[in-house]
Amino acid sequence: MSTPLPPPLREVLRDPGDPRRVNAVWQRVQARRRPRARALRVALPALAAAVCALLIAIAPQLRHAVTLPSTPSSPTTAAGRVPADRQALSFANGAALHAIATGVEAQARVVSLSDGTRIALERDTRLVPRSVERELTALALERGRARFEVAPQGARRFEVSAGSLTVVVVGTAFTVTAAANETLVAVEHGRVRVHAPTGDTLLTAGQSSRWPELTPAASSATQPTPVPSAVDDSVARNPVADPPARTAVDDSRPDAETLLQLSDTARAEGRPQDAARALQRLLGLYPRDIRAPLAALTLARLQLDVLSRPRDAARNFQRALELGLPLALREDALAIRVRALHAAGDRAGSARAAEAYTRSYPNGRFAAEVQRWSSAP
Amino acid sequence: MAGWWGERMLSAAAMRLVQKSGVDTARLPASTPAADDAALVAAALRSEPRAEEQLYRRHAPAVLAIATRLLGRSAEADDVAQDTFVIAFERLSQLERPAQFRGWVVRIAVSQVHRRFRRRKLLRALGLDRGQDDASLAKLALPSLDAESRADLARIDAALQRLPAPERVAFVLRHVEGYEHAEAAALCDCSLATIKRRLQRAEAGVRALSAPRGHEPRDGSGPQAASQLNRARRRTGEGAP
Repeated sequence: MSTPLPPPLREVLRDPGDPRRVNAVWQRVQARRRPRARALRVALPALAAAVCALLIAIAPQLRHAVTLPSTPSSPTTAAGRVPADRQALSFANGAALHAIATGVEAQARVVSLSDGTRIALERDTRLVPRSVERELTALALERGRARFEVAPQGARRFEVSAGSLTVVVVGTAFTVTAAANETLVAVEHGRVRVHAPTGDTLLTAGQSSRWPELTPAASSATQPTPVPSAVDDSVARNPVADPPARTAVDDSRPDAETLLQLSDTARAEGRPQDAARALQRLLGLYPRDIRAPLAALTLARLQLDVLSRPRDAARNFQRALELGLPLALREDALAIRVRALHAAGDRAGSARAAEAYTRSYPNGRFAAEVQRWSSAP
Repeated sequence: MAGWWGERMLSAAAMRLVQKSGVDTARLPASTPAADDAALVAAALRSEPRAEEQLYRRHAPAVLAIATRLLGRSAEADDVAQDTFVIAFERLSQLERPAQFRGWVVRIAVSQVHRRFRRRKLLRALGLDRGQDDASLAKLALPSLDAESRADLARIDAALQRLPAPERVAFVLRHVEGYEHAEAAALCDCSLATIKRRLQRAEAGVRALSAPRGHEPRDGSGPQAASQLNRARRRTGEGAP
């Protein structure tokens, strides 16, 4: 800021925005925002319930008023109630399944089904029901990317098709991406079986694979089948899983994007070990990716703050720095590496890291903390 | 530790967005925060977990600091910071340039400060304003600042107390926070001419009210207070260029 007049007076004032105040205000911000979210959470199901009740009340009249297409009758229990897994799925509000889509500029959209299944559609995605019956729910992902968190289906099958693939699930969470020339399936937990023109493949938790969309000629000529690539090698060795089919096409290792997505999901679901494994794999497969330094930094943070592995954390802080961390984050990484080394019991390393920090940032923001960490017994 | 660390953390989603926007994170210079802001705003709009919190932790210290120095009362500043971020997150979809989140959120904070001053004026008129200025400039002074400089700051505090709120805000934004005229005008949502007029009045007021008897500004080009503080800086070595 080019200030013609004297420099700002704040230079002689202490910073009043200390972390304790920041945390306290954040609690208040959350408290203010929560009631509205809670009100929505209460109001929407109540509204849905009211609509359902209204529909149930007027259904007999409607049945007389209009000629409905014949639908397969639902098996009922002795008490007249239909078991959940023997009913055709609908939206959570009771409406029949219909096509759902998001625009190019639209925000991501999450829809819930009557059995608790949740489907998150990213932007520019279209999902249409192909078959909604008691025994089968078949959806087709025409374009875009959608994440499915499928509730246990009991006797009912749940299928998602994309391009020439069909993903069959029982109870799991997975993501399907329908791109122009390929389809990507990534499994977060549970298992899915993928029917492709080239054969069937079983994907288990942490695995992902991509299938190129083949022209009929290419399909008959090469018969390629994807090779599932495991995010976690231990999962790949799972004896329960079917051995993956091997073919000439061997470019199906998860891309950086998929690994980041798996890491995000794992962190959001409180599975830091899985998140760390995905990030480690990203660093192993794509050390030159532009996101690798930030992945290393995130991994280091997980290892230090969540997984209590300070030695690994220190190594990954160093790795993040070597990979070319953005300048804005270098100071942070250098500083917290001191703490990681100290926590790992490496006093000499901690002192050296503190020296390195002080050399780079003689008046750094974390000078006091770095001094404290490196000198603590 | 968690505070500063949290604000420095980039989610994988943010990384993705940065990558999609064509920005090479590895080569980003000091403009990285803006790129991160854009990514975080997009993530928050998609309701991604923790995106709002990361935005908050990145900018709350600045908002809290500005609100505190404008209002001189930490409790009111906390309220302003709270209101600011509640409003910001509710209106996030209206933000046209996500990379400029910092400026936008500070503008909201300044407008909330104006509201606070109006409320304070009303309470004072009714004899109900019992708030204490626990975060005046003199009270925020660095421990290393000498007694004379503290006295200067106290005189500026006293002068600011008597200024109308718009002039006080203009003075603090310009001379305490260091914003340029155009930036201060944008933050106050007024024209450049208006902010200059307010500043002129505020500087004259501070000069008249804060100057010790017999001490008038030598050149009249800046506020007396700033001259006093410059002297203080030279004595203490603080803020030396």
